[in-house]
Amino acid sequence: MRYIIKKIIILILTMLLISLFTFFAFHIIPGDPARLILGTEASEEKVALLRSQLGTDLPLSTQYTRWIGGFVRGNFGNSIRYSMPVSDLMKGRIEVTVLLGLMVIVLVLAIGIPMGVFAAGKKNTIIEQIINFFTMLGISFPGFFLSILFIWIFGLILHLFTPGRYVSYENSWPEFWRFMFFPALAIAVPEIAILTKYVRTAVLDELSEDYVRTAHGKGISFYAILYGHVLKNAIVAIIPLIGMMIGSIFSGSIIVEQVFAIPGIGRLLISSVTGRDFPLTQTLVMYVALVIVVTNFIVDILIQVIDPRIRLQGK
Amino acid sequence: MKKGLTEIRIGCILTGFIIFLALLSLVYTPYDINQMDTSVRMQAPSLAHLFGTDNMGRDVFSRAITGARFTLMVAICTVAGCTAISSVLGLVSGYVGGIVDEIIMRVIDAINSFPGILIALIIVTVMEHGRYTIIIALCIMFIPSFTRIVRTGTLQYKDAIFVKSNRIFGDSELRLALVHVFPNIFPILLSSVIVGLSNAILAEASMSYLGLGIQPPAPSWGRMLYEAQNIIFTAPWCALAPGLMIVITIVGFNCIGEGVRKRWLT
Amino acid sequence: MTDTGAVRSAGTDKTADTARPLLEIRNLTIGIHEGGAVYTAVDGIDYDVHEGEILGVVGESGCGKTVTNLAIMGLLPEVLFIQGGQILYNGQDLAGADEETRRKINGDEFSMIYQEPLTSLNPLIKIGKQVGETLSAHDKCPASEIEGRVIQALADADLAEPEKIADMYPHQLSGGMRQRVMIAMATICRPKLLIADEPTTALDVTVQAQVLRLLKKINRKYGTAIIFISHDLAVINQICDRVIVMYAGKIVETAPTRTILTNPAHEYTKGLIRSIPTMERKGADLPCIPGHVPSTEEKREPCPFADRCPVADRICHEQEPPLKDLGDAHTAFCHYL
Repeated sequence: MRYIIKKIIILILTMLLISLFTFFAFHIIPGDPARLILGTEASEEKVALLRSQLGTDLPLSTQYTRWIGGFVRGNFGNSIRYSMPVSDLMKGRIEVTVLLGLMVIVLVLAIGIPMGVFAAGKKNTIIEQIINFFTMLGISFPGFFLSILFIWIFGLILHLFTPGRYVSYENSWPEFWRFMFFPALAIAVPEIAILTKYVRTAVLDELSEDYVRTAHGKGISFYAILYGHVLKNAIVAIIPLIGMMIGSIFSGSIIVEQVFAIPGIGRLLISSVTGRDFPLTQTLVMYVALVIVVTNFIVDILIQVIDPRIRLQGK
Repeated sequence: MKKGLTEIRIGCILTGFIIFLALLSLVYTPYDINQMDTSVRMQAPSLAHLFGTDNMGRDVFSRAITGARFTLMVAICTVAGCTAISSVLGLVSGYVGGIVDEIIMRVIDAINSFPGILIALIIVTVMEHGRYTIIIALCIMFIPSFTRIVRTGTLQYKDAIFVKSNRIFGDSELRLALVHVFPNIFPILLSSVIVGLSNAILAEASMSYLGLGIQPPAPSWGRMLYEAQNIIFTAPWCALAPGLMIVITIVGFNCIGEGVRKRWLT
Repeated sequence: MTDTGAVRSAGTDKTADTARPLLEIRNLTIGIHEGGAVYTAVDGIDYDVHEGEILGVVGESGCGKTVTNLAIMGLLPEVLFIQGGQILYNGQDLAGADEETRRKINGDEFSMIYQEPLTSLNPLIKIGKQVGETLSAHDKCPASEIEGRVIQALADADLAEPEKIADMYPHQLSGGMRQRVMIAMATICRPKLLIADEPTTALDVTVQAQVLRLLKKINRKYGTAIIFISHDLAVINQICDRVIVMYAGKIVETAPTRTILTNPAHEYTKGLIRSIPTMERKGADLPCIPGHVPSTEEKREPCPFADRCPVADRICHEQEPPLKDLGDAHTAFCHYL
């Protein structure tokens, strides 16, 4: 229990630092953000108006407390470019990104873990070399290049989906999944490669443990040992990695949403960056960072629940 | 056979090939990289145009090898800058310890809790888009992990016997840190630098793809892929050339990194 | 090893009349891969294990006693392998047996317990399930009966509140309890042979005595033969009927326990016995054997102990020592007996 309280304190501290970091990143830039947004040709009145809209004429500390206060109450401010509340813009897009992320996680776990176990079983064989080769390739393909290849091969040549024609899940779930499968796969490939490598190492490490020898001594078959004894321990060893993957899965989805024209948070973020929509970018960045930090926190707690060794130390 | 040597060899051949092309682009490209020629739009690869032409009739090969130069330059500057800053931060943090260490590590942790691309996005939002901004952005993105590596190494060696014995001989702490501690971190730093290069190339390509990195008309692999996306069906070579060059470069660097790790760090 | 016949006839007083030993080790040689080269870890040893006896194997660490017994179980780590010889059980040679044959014997007819009970148990699986696995691996009883038999086995291993322990994880138990769990797990199928590899070395002295008592009880009650590996002659004395002394991959002396302790023949055994601390010698310097066990890479003399032996002569560096039968099941390899 003490561990969890300590983790919660660290969580709150990290969030505070993240908010300060995000806020100041947008306020320590030399020059006037209003001027930067409107460009040098804009009239002085227009700039002054935007300045008061953005609140940049107020002292920094007031700006920060205002922003954080609003954030906590769910009032994320207004987008300059779309002139509407940021929360309205996010509605509907969050679900798309979350669903995409979940699909990626399912793919990564469903393919990465069995492949890693398989690779561990084939140590010192030609199959190990082949798997090594593919994991090396997997981590070397940029997500957007893979996405373009998927659009070309699976979309335009094989017609497995229609590129550029996103189908909302509100219209049809099967069509939605059909469209989302390849973007999800494009994000998943490098993560699968990484997970395969880690699972393989974790399984091999576990196989050299004493308890495996005991199990052999009891007359349990190799595969029963692999799946009944080793796998569980190996998975506990890789859970922290799965936590770290959440961040890179989101990074992947920012870019892949762009390639496949999927209306999610990532695409909104990029358009806010290219459009220099400061309030929108600031809020989205903060929001995403929070989601990632909180997910990692949950993963940490999950490890406690799964691993009885840690679970009992806390008591 | 010595461990990791095969990987290092394969990696050097692949990256050497790309670096050669990038250097070649300094002195020679078959065509001007911005020369448009509507009479040869979207031509398939041939002897005249090794990698074909794009929808504006520009020579893909010339653009791809010039793009290699820009991308590699950004990656090298990024990693060099980041290694320099991180070495100082990590040494100070590990060596001084106490409150300084605490502050540096807390900030690093906070930066680390963002996915790297978010940091890069914040920076390109608040600064002018372009080559130098992307270097700064990627630099900040990589500083946390590098600093951590240097700090861990410093902690490991600062109280090692050979450092202590030199301390007894009256070497100043600064000299100890720079002459006795830092060189021991080299092997692990080297493998991080190499992996860092491949990450920097990936990140630069992604940012340029999003239009936030190297700005046109300067060619970059990421931007070329963006432009090729809409003509992928009719002119796939426009995407395949820069895409595969990215993959080859990254595989190359990863191979070297893996080899170095196997050879010196296990 | 020239005269295997002499070893075969060397039974204990207890089992001298039984016709065939439970297990016969014949000229067993075990190699080790190290940095591309192959060295010899165990060098052509012969011995028998008789039904129902407790056989001690003693020697300094690195002399091959654990390796030999891992070979019996077919549990050699990757770098070690059987180079030659036989492990005869029920007329079958286990040295070359396939995995499935081994699997059927392990846990059912042969079992093993280890020095480190904590790492030898899976940290993430409950005790009850780990003990029950031995039963289910050999289809000993219907699934519904497993739980009851596990609890019975834990109780037989002198564990109080077996139901509660079955529901716990290894790290929640003390070292002694873990070793009892290991014993319950190893003996639940009533094996004919139990190999105990330094089972008490990691335990407190008081707990050590309890575990030894438990092993003896199992031996008496079920007639389970036990190979008891230890570097500690004092512990061997408490439990074993007969002792094999190993040195640098070879057997140097075999005798009933009392004979070994009162009338050792081989210089190495004598050295071992001298280095047991006793009350009478309290305060005096504890004698030890000068030198060290040669590592597997070092060149070995025909008599492996020649370099450290006080009576060694030229012949010990030139010829393999012969097997001498000293009567009463006492044999030793030495030129000077």
